[in-house]
Amino acid sequence: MTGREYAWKRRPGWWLRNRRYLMFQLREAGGVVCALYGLVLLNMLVQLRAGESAYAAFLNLLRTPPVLYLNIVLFALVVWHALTWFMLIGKAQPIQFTRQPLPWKVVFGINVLLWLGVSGAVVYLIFGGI
Amino acid sequence: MLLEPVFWSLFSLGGFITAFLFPVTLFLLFFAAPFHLWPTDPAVYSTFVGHWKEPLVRLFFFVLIGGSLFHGTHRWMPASKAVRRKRSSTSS
Amino acid sequence: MAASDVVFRVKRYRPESGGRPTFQEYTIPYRSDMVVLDGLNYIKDHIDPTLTFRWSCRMGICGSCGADVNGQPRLTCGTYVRDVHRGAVTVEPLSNFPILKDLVVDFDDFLRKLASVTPYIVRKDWGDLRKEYVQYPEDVEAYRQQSLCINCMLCYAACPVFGSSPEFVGPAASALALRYNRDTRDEGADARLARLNTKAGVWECTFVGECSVVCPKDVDPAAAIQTLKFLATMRHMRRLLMPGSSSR
Repeated sequence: MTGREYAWKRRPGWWLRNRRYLMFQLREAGGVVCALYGLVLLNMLVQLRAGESAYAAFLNLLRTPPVLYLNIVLFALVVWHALTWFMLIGKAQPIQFTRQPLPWKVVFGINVLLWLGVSGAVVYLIFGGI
Repeated sequence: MLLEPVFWSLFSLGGFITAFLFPVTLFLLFFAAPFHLWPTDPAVYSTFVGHWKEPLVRLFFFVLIGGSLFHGTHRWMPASKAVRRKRSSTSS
Repeated sequence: MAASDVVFRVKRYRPESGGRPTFQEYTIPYRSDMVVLDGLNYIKDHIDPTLTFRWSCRMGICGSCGADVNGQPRLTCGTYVRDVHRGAVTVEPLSNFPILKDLVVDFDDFLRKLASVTPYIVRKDWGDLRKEYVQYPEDVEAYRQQSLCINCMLCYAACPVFGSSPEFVGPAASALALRYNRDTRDEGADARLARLNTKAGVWECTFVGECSVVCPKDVDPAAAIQTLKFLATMRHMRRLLMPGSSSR
């Protein structure tokens, strides 16, 4: 064969090409946001240990408008991350409990119900109920 | 020795932990409680300190923080030198 | 241009002249039942005989005619022009592959990866070759979905990880590895899992899932890879914690 091959390079904006790629990037961003929130929670516990005034300063920071808006955006990413996680379990089912894989929406529904149950348990066991 | 299977298992575990536990925890601690929208007011200093004494609560936060940190930083964990180089070009 | 015409924008590349690939536009007659491959063949037969592209069966089973149609990896024989006709139909070579000429890509790398997962029944001892191997319907069902792969490589074109990490074994090769691992006549599962449990194996996958979306045969390679990750992990842990246990 004469001549040269044309080498292919992935374009930087590849994830803008279609909606599914964009949802994937948001999902991955949600994962990083989870780690960030992990650090914030860690900081919250550190402030708790430091004393009432340090802890109060932390809570007051949470109440300021810029932090609140940031939290709303980041929280949305965390929720999207959780929802896509439940969808992915349905789409992959790497551990098979049934002979044939179940429809992914059924697995998604089961996970959402489990999530409701676990959330309720967390509210009552960790945060003192309603 | 390839660490990737171990990292992936912890990443998956962290994914379950964050998916199931984060939404309600963040909602309570960062939205409902600071604005006193929740009857039991779990973020009030005295209440939180009281809860913190329980081993279950300590375990909860340990698992939650550990799981979320591992899950969110999985992409940057070097399972090997070669993987580290590749990871930075794949992540965006 | 008549009202019943359609414009095809086709990516051209001549290896003799090098340079960068460019678009060339052709206006051809439109029929409501034509597929993109029909358009390409019309161009080659009546307008520009130098246009080069792969095709064979015209019915979605040989896997030859993959191309990016309006930015999406499709089989040109299975894509109706009426479904993708948005002013013009853009046809480019499959993403993520080096271009040989026009719409023809170099897939030697894919064939090497496919060979590396031994996509055939592997047995230590075949014994009497006249002997029948009994397989019940449920045994066949266990690997049937992955066996439908026609090696069309649309999944590789769709995978952004393969796009940036060309050493990734990829969706089709992984799905076929699982197909043979799940075949009750096969004894090569351990060796395949060993090959996939590597940095260039299944671990590159971040479950974007686009491979399963574009697959024309519903092989669902994304789910196959996640299953393989789990199986490879189990094998890895077994070998780590119980070095004496037998394989499989």
